[in-house]
Amino acid sequence: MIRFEHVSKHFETKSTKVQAITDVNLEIQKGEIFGIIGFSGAGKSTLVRCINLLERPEEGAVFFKDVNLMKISKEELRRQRQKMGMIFQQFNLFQQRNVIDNICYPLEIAGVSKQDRIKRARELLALVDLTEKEKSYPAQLSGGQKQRVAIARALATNPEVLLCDEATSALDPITTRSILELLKKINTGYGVTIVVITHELKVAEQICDRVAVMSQGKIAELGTVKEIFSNPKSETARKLIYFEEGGSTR
Amino acid sequence: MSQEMLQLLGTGIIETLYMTILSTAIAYVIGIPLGVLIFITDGKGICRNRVVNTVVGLAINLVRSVPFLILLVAILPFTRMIVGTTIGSTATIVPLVLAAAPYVARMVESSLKEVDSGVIEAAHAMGSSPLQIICKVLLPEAKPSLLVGGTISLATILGYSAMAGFVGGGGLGAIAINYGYYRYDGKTMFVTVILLVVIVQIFQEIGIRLVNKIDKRMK
Repeated sequence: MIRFEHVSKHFETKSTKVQAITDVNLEIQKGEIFGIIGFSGAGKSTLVRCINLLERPEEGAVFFKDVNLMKISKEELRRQRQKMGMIFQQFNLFQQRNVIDNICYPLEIAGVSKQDRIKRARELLALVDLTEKEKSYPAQLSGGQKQRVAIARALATNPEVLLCDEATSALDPITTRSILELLKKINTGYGVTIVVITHELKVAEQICDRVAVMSQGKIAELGTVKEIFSNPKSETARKLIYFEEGGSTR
Repeated sequence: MSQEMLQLLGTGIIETLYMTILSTAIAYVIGIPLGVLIFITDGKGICRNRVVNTVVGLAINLVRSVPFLILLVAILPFTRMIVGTTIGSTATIVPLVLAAAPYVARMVESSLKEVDSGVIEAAHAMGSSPLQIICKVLLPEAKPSLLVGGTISLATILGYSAMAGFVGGGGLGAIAINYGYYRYDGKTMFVTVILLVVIVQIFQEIGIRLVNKIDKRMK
């Protein structure tokens, strides 16, 4: 579904050069929930942004369903992006649009008629359980509700992939659980491939099939959740597990 | 106060409103595209272009640094070319627009800068084109702030229009100068100034109410 070949990306400021990700090779299978975990600054967010080229790598190739996104025109890239949904830690909803108009936006720019937009948006509102909030504005919603709207918006164009950048990091544990359940439902019910970026191990543990552990811009370890949690090979994975246990029980 | 004076002030109010509102409107027609252009071509913008950004930025700063009265006099030939005369309120609109458009462009730019970059990123992720981002995301999201800017611009342009009274412009400014300053008629000057203050207050009040009505962020 998504394939990275020798992908590298750095950021330059006037004085320094920061290597965000270095020579990453990765393949995400259709229909799986793939986790990318690591500490802050490990390059997780940059990596997920390289999937839809919000960040353009300097080197390597990014394939989405065997199309090399690095080689296509801007127009073609925009069409490909409509097949990928994305949600964010800070939700990033349009503040001046109400809930249903937020969900309609991706359909609007894809040229779907108004009638069909509203119909689709209502289906999605029902899916995320927010039917009665149709006319509310984002400022009137709780964090969990905002993320549900963001999920509905991301799914409007029937994408095959949903990218989640720290989607639950701004939410409390109970809301996190309900959002993760919703993601799981979207994955199993609609076959949407999901990529989850998180620094919370619990999140990966709860919904991911496979996990990549990132450290200093590289993939330190990759395996099924069970493999990594029962037998962490990399230093980073061990640290993540150690801190998670320390933080949750003692 | 004589009947004649009241009539004079009445005409002055109408002329002032005519100059201020029309100039602001035209200044926005020019200023919004300029403001958008300077915002999107910026180093962090959605259509980065250093050359365009620098040239437009310089042009804006150049016009903005010329004092209004000097600009007013300097472009007299240009004003005559466009409206056929250099006196009266219609003639004043030309320098007012020229002075206000770059000011408005900066106001628009600063309003657009307030739009959350995360929201713009989300729009990109959904496959929006630059034009869609400008028309469907940037401008609508910045609308309350743009309106606040509009109110401030209106008051500033009103001030400029009064200054134009010195060189044959119409409106309350001209009355204040011709009667109050040149003829030492303190009372008339006082009344015109009060009227100007009241007009600014009314603009401000309408603007704030409108903003509160349309801004969906704090409800």
